[in-house]
Amino acid sequence: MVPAFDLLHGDPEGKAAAGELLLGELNCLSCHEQQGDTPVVATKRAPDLSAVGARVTPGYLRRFLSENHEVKPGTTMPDLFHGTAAGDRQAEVESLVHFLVSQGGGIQSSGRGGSARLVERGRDLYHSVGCVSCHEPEMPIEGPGASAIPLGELAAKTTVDHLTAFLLDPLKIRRSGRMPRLWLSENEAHALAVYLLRDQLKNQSGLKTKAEPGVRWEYFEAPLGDRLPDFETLTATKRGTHGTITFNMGFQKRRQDFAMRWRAILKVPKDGKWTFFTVSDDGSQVLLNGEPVVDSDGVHTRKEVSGSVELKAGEHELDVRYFQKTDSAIFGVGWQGPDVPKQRIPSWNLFLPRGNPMSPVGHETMVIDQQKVAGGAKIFVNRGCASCHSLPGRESSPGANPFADLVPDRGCLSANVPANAPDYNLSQVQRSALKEALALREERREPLTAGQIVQKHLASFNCYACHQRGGLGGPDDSRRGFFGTKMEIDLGEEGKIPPNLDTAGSKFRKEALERILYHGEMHVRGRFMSTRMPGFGKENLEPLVAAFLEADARPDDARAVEFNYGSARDGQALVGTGGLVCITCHNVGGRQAVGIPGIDLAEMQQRLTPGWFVRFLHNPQAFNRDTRMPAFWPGGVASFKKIAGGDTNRQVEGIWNYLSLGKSMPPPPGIAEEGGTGSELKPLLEPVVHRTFMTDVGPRAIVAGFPERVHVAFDANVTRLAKTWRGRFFDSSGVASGRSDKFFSPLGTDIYNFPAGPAFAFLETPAAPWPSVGRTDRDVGGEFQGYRLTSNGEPVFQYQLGGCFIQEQPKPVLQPGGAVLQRHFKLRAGKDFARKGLTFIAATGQAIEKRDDGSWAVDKKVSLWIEGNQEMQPSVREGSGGLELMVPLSLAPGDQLEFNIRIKW
Amino acid sequence: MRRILPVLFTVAGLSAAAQNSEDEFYRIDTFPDRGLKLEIGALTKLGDGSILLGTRTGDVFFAEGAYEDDPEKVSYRKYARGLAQPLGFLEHEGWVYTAQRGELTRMRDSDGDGKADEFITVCDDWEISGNYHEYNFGPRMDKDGKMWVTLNKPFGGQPYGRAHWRGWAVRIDPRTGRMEPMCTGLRSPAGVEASPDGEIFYTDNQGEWCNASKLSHLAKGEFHGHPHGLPSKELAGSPFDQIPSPKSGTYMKDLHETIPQWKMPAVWFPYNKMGKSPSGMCWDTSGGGFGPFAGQLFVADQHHAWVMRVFLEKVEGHWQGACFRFREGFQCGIIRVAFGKDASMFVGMSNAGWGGRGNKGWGFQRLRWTGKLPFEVHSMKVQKGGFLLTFTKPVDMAAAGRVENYAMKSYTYKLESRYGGPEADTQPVSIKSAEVLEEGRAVRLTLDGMRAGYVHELVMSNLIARDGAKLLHPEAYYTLVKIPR
Repeated sequence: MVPAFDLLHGDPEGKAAAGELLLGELNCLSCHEQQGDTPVVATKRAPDLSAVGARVTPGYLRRFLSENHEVKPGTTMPDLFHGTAAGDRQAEVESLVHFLVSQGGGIQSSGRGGSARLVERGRDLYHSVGCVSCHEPEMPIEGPGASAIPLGELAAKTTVDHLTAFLLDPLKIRRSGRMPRLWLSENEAHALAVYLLRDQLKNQSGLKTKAEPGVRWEYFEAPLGDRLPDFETLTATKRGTHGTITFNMGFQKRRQDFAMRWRAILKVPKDGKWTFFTVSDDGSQVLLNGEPVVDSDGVHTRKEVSGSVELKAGEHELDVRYFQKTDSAIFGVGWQGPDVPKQRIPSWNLFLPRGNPMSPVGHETMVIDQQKVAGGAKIFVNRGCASCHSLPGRESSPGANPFADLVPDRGCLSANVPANAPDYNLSQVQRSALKEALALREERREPLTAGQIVQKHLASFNCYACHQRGGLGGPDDSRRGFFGTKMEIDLGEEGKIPPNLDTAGSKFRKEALERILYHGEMHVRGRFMSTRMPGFGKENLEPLVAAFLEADARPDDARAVEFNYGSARDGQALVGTGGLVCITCHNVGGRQAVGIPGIDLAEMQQRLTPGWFVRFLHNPQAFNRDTRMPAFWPGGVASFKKIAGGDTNRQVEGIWNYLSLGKSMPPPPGIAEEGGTGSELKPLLEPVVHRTFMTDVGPRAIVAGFPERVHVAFDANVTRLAKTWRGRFFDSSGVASGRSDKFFSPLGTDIYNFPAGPAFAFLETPAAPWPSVGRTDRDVGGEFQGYRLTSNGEPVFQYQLGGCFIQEQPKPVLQPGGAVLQRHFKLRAGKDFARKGLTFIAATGQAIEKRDDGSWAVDKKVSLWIEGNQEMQPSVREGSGGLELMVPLSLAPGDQLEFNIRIKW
Repeated sequence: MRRILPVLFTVAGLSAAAQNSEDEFYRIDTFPDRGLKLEIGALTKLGDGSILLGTRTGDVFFAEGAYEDDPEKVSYRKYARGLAQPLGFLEHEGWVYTAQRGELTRMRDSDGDGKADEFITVCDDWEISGNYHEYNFGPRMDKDGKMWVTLNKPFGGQPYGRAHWRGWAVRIDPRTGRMEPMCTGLRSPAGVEASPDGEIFYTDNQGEWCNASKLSHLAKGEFHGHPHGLPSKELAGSPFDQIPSPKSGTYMKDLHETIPQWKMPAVWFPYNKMGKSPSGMCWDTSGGGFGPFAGQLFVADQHHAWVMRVFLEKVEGHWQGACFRFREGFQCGIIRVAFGKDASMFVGMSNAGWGGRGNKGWGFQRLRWTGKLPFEVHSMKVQKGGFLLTFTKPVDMAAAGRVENYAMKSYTYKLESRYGGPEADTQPVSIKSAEVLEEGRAVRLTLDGMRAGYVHELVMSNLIARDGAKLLHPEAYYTLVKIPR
């Protein structure tokens, strides 16, 4: 069963292409060799059989090898024994089974079981994340395009553990990517496996394992929003079991952005009304049997919330959830009920959740017979299994006719396949398509066009199940209903159905295509569609990326839009209220759109080419008939005149310039700030300078935050710039609440630490060690003299070292790709300045390299540019803790020197 | 039962009357906070009369319209932000000086846009360890033109190690920034103030090694009881060559025998009777605009959310005097008080993580004299063999002349390592005679058993003015350190 076959075959021109598709999907060329160019661009290899015995039952192997077309109708595996006499056939299959089972040594029973709830969860996933685009839904569908890739008798084939592992990364076993990664979390893969193997549950109802005391906990570190995360989609950073529900496990290193979940079977001693409590900062929830009882969600300070529920004596599923965003982290949970006063839930009422055990249907363990193994190994090679299945040390020689010599209607292609050829159970239509493909063998020796390569990939990987390109493909009516949205938002078809790929190679930057196709970016970012964009593996899709670009790219796609600050400001005004109000439907750097939370503006520039973007804005409907994106410049004429003189080009370029700021985009007028406590400092319109205690910086930190979302921390004790970071700024509650005794870290991301010692020092010799700084040392980098604010409110720090007066102004400079940090230094040597060896340390790191563009790459974290009004001669030397990027400075009394350090993430 | 009930009613009635009475003479006006977290830690009147407020979170505002009769007319204009817990402002030569956590800073608006844009570090020679209790108070300028700052000692963890000069009073030359360590032994010196003639006083909060809250005069080379700051005496600039550590359990009145640098307080504030946490203070420089107490000192309390009154006199070279209750009922624990240009007292409040009276976490209020003269003890001066009391109004001569209308006891305190401490060695002081002088303006009490080094607590029941008014606050607490010879 090759899904795209019907699609291609249905196209009047596509009969040969459909045949060629089969040549690749049935892996014909691994037996029938072909030199030079072939019409096959993406061959499907059969599953990797290393350790197959450890994951597939002997019974299933036996049945599948004996009658594969019955066990798994539509399988692309041919029947090798159709011409062998029944007795011999059974003996050969038995030997092969022993050989395969010996690969991995037999299947172990599954540690994980299942439950009706997991089946439900798995069923939801199966029907929403995209499985049914290729496989059959549980309720069979009908009509054209209803054909599906068979699953076979899974319940007899494997265990929950193995299927879970397979679903997490199918490419490990099926390397050719026809079964892609769906970016499932551990929990999701488990639920899906339980669902697919649900027949294993039916057999063993009533059987339960003994309850073990304890609680199963999971700990998650992830950037969080203002509500509890969707735990099902997260993979735990740490997990384990514990005697009771304890928040303080000792490993929460961070003070924000983490979540915890505890699950247990709660043994309720008496029928009656039970009240549950949480005390938390920030949000928490208690669910019983899947129903919320306590809901204390959201970012808040210490708050006690309770809820009651009628419970029968006996076992109930308890699920407790907590997350910490900012401020203090507090969590506790308790209960109260008949004869039980308000208290923590005692450990003797808590038991580890365990599903019902699940094991393969009809499974019997098998004793491996070494003689049969040896026989099986020979058969594996001689029968040609190894041509398609890779197994170390086993290779079949092709032995069959070369591709060029193949004759239609003979061998595999006969209506009655001869005994010496494998039987693919081909239909009449398939055989005729293959015949067509063979007929065109010579013509097709020409290299394929990029467009053909794209089409062949989209067919092989069944991209057509979800996407349309060139009028071909897209979800058919029988499956359309399975495409939905994650939440209740109305984005029309655009929010449910994956986009057409008509201009994909023009629309996306190369790196963006790579991120989407190899690394699941659309899954991570796709906030709306429930269907996931799967990962097919870099090695499988590299030719597709190249072909997309070659087929679609237009000369002006990557045209350089010159970055201009004023123009970016125009763009900022245009997207906000008072402009085109794009923020009605677009999020901005993680902040919610005013109306429907559509694609984030801050993420666009990373993906799109400027040329495509300009064409798209001019006429969005030309690219997607169903789009809700309005045409603001119909016929090239700006409908909104107030900004950028009503000039279409200036407006569109302004928006592009604004988008090019990426993460550090200052928010447009009208957008709501992201959540957080009232003490979160938010530099919206002007910089915020704030003195505070700060982790790793000390009790005399001065943090400066900028609307460009690049921030710094200065240490007035050692006298040095200590840190820079991006995104959110700083939570002042450490010193603004309680007794003002807390040290906090930055709220943002991409934290870069400047060298731990002073920024400037006098070195006796160039090799002298850089001064080290202890926790209580002061003034090592000079005597702090305060700061002044420029007319824009930006701080200029002032300090004096050995008669040299230093001013440092750190500020963000907007440029495409986001703001960079510029440290501007102004040095003035006093009249009595006599010391030699003044040196600036620009960076320390484990790897510091000079690049051709003059920049210095530091630890793959940042790039650094050093520019001065006199010649700067930076050099790298070995320091005590790694490499040091040193800048020697020469100053005579009365001299002035200015230089800039630019730091780009 | 019949006999008890009326007594209960009388007591309740009295206390209600006392509250009403305070209100009759001094009115509290409450300014709206306009949605700001006005946790006031710094409050001062600038030369042009404008009122500058500093908050715990480091914001600095001008309180515009603060002199309007209607407090609802106030608005706050931001002058600066992001300072590290400024706990005092002082204007000097066009700059506003403030003690932040880590330094003495001067700030000004150099471009005239109404916002400070220069924040110059004048002196950062003291250290902080990152402990919350390392508050710094001031500055206040003495008669030599030097700025005094009092430095709280840490309480609990010190993330960045032991910090020097904590528990000291230092003074700084604003021209050179040079720091001159002056005294140590301070615990939680939440108020520092210069008298109109440039003498420096400070308030300290009771706790360990400061077993009763107090007001003390500061002069170079003195020790005030808490040993935390002693290790810094080894550093350059310390005024001490040799100073013994205090021994827990010694009567403070006897401490000078073992520690010559020991300085007795000017006024002890007996626990609970006179607040728990004395903080900011201000001298009545209104020249009578604020009522009858011109020249006297007002001291606020952060726990009791009230303002007390202190009468000071210099006896045998030592500043000492009496404290009285003055006005209660503010909305939150008070940190700062300051007189405005119109003889109103501005009151800034913040509970800053501590419990206290009042129903708000912060506040900005104003106290004004209604113009009605309260009947109060005006001054309590020590004389050989007794005290001379003066009153704001002529007394009823008959009532004032009866010795049974006066009761006095005396007690003192030990210096101890424990937190707080009881009144110790309490004895009654017998009133031998009460002599009405100056046509009822004064009463001379002749006593038997006056003791130097003791608080003399006087309760005047049934004293009435000639016009029939009851004594508004019938208690007085005189800290008798020196008895005139």
